[in-house]
Amino acid sequence: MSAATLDLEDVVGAATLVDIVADLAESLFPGEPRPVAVPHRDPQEPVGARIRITGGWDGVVVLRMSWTFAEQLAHRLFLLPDGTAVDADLLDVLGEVVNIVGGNVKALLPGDNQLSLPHPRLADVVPPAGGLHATVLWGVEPVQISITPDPAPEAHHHPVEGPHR
Amino acid sequence: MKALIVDDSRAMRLVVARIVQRLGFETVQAEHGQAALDVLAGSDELPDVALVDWNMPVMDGLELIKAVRAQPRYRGITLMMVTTESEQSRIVQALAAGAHEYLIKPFTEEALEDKLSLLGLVPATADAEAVAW
Repeated sequence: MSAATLDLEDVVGAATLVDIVADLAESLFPGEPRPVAVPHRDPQEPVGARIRITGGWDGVVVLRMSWTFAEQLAHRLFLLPDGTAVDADLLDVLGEVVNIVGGNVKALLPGDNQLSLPHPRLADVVPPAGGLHATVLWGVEPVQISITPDPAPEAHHHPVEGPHR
Repeated sequence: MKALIVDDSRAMRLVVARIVQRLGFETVQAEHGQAALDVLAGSDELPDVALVDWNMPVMDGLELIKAVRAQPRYRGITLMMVTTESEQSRIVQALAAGAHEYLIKPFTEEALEDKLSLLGLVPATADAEAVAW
């Protein structure tokens, strides 16, 4: 079965994406309310990251969240005073979140697959059309996860990326 | 006790370090496998355990585990893969290369503590004792 014809809702499912993000949140911030699924909602001033899966299934996992929320996560994880997180801190957080989501998604897909290193950006990362999408509310912030098959992996079809802030 | 934490994500290194420090470990960190080998080569006191991510630039965790296992001087180091790679085939691959334990991200603090207690590196928790029985 090709990446393009695989039914991602059957094989992975939006509910699973929500669970992965919720488990990650619980891991990072034990005891806090778990993120929950919400209808599609765009983050304000989005930043994001992508990670590629190749092998038995070829495609891309894209993460989007607001700049503000990435900054909050960085401050909390690095125990930084407010306003002192630097770009590298935000990029590190974005990269690790998409890495964990991508790795867990990869395990659900057919075939022997490889995970790329994450590509975080302090700019919007718009996923390709199609695929599977989920939005979770993490605290009060929407976080979007998308999985999109790549119909022509050899062409290295990358998602559209917006300008740097 | 001393733990070497190897992960290209600084955030994840800090998360792991906070947990193991609460359990009484001193920590040293490295951002990829080659950096970890450099740390080990320069250490008079080797770590008791290395907590190793899989996907890292320069040298990945699997290569690091093979390199550590190939050095008799490092045979006292317990190796735990801490990774998002969760397929059974990857777990088998890591254990075959010489990892003693395997923990899948995301993980809870209790899960990491249980793994360390099963390895005899921290006192057994109630959960770990239940698993052992």
